[in-house]
Amino acid sequence: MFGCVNSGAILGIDGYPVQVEADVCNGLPSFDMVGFLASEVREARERVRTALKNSGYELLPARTTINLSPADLRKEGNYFDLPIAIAVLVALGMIPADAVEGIFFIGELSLDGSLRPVNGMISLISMAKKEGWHTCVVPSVNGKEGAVIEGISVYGMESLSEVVALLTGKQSFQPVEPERDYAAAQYHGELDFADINGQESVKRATVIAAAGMHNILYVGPPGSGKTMIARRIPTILPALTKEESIEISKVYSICGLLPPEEGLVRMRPFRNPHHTISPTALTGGGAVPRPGEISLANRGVLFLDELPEFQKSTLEILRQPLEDRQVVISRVHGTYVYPTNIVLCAAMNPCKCGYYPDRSLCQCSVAEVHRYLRRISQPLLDRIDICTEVPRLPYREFMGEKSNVTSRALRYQVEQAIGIQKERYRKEEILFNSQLSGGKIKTYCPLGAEEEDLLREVFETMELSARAYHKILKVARTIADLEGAERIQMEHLSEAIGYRSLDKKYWGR
Amino acid sequence: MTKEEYWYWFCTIPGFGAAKLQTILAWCGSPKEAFRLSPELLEKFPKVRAKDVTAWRKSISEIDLICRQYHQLEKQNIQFITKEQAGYPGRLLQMYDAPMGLFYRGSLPLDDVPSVAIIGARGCTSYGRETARVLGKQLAQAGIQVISGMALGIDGAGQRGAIEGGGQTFGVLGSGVDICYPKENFALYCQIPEHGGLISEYPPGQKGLAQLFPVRNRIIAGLSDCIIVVEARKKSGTLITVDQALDQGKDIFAVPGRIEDPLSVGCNELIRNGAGILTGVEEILDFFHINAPKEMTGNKKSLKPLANEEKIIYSCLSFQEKQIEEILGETGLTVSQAMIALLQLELKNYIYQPQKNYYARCKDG
Ligand SMILES: [Zn+2]
Repeated sequence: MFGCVNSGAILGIDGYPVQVEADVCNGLPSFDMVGFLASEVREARERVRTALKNSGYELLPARTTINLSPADLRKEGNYFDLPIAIAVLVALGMIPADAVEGIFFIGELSLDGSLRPVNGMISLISMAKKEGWHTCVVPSVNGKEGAVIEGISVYGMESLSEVVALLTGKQSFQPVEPERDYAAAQYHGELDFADINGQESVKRATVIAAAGMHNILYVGPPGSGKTMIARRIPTILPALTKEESIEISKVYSICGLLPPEEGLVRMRPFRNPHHTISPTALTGGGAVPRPGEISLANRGVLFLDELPEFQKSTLEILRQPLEDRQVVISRVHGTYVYPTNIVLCAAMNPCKCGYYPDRSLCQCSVAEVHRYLRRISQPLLDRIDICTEVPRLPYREFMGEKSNVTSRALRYQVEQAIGIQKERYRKEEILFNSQLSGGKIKTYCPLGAEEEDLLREVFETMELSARAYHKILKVARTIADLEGAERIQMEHLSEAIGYRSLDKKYWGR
Repeated sequence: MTKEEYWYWFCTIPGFGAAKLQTILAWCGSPKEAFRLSPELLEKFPKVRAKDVTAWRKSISEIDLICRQYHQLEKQNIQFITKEQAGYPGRLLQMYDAPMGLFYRGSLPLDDVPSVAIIGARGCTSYGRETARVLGKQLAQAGIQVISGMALGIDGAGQRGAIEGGGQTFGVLGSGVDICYPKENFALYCQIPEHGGLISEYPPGQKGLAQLFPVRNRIIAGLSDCIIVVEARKKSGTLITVDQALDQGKDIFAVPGRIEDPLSVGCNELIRNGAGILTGVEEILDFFHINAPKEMTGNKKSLKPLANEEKIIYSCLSFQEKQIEEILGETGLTVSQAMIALLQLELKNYIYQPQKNYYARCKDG
């Protein structure tokens, strides 16, 4: 007697199909599992047997063999309890074989037969839909995540006996209601740029960063509001599309970090790991690979506060993901790919005590100021297009009601600029000005004679590095896009020059 | 051995400073005689300790090597001059502990040309740095030699200004003249020999050690007719130099500062104790009875007319730097307008950025 059901597991952020086969025949009583299994999958044996017994299905002494295929992928996680139990019941003839066709099963069983949620549900249901299966049977807690994917029925079940009742038609259930109006459920959070008084130049730099997805560095003394501003970047990034939301949610679902009672992440992420974070926790990895902070920040903001406090080695491994927009982790059993489309935002004090160049407060020696700056990894600094100084404002400036520009208004500007870029780069593999490189800069950021002259003069008098040249052009391109200008003009270039990155050589001379 | 070789040996014995050598020289009459001094006799000189005798004997045993080093000076482009030779700075001869010999690259300050030291804090404000630079430049334009220690902050800024003004500046080092210390000032280190000279009483190869700097400061004071202190904290190294200058009977000028600025506490204290108040280069010119040269009143300001926003911004700036946020608040301009105007003003030499996104007027515009 033989039973076979569909299930799946996660590799990277995507699901892949797994067939669960059960064979029950006469012979010495046993319960064996094969198919390249991690130890936690082997433990399913005890849970499934006990759950079946406690749900009222007596297993007669028989030789039971479970096979999970494909055999070349190592199966990990607690996904397979339910599909194994169902396959056994099909093999025993308690559920007709045709009742499980085209149905995807997933879930962990507790000993009393109730179903427990598993991580990565969005990836799994997306996969089930792609495989052409018509129905998913998942633990009820995961049901809300199922509601996100359209075009497939998802049943959220409480227990094994409910699942059997569903399949044998003894009881009828309603599939989870799919969410119809995605846009209406958009959420931008409670933070708003209107909360911040003054800091106009910093706000402006931030809007430019958001509009071209440029990485940005804030330099300023403690208490100047660097973190307040950074936290508000997600509020001016364009509204999430459903596809983006699903992409973000897949990562959160795998990590079990989805907000309670929510199937989707509806806000652009803002992650601010502490400076003691390990390289693995930052970019992802481990024996059983998991996404790192940089992937949890996907489509949002990764904020590194106190940048010089981070280990240089930790920061330097960010370089590749920032360039490739994904993290690739290779293991013997497979290659894990996590997305890393982020805006990197960093903040730092100008010196150890934080008050340089205000010499009435800063007592750091010149050497100390230099040493502090030298702690930042140059390769990382090279990937930051915009640098802005955040001054300490007098108390009266900071507090009190003022009519400040709202996040909503700023987001509108950003969305317009991003729309222009999308149109301009429709034939390219890039989406944003920050992704321009080499020859493409020449193509898309041409300068008139007057602008060329200005840039040459600035380079000669300010002794800027060659690397700064490309950054200034890319940022000027974004400023022009914010103004809706086709060509980069003097004013765009002048402003971009004001946001040029720190040049260590000229710091505190 | 030649006379010069004996002098070179005499000036390079580790642990023997100018004062100790002076007493030995007075007793022996010449380095050649000193070379034959018996250790027993040497020990009897005041302040000569056992380890000094060891160093003395070691240097005598290595005399061949030392002579070879002497002959390498030329290849290193380093000159050596002793107290007894013509061309040794006359101002130094007034000191009881004048260096026995000087190593230098470039030239030495001239006796009949006025000479002023610009000294001050290493960790100075950008206001202080700009003040020192402009003073250095104006002194140079008036034909005055600018002496300093090529340190970070005020020292280096004053010397940069002097070079900018097309004058002569002399850097007195606390290391051998073949060593650039601090290394941040490498560009200045390379320029000075062509616009004056690098001077040291230590032989080539001597590293910059903390204990050597106060000793070299007496030479800075010694080479100058008066001393300008631009910024100094309370109880700072700069004030030690001032004390040495006072001991040598030199006049002190201090740039006054706001009473709550820690970097002006030293200067204000000097003024209270009788130093001259320096509010402009004119006070120094008066001191030397020099008339202000014509080019000093002229400036490099571009003749291009200023746009309206540029005027608004220029009038809101001062010599004390302002952050862009403050400028926006005071002028009511948008970020983009202000950035354009600031960049233009900077390119036209009206203002400069002491620190990124901080702006101040150029003193000499
Ligand atoms: Zn400090």
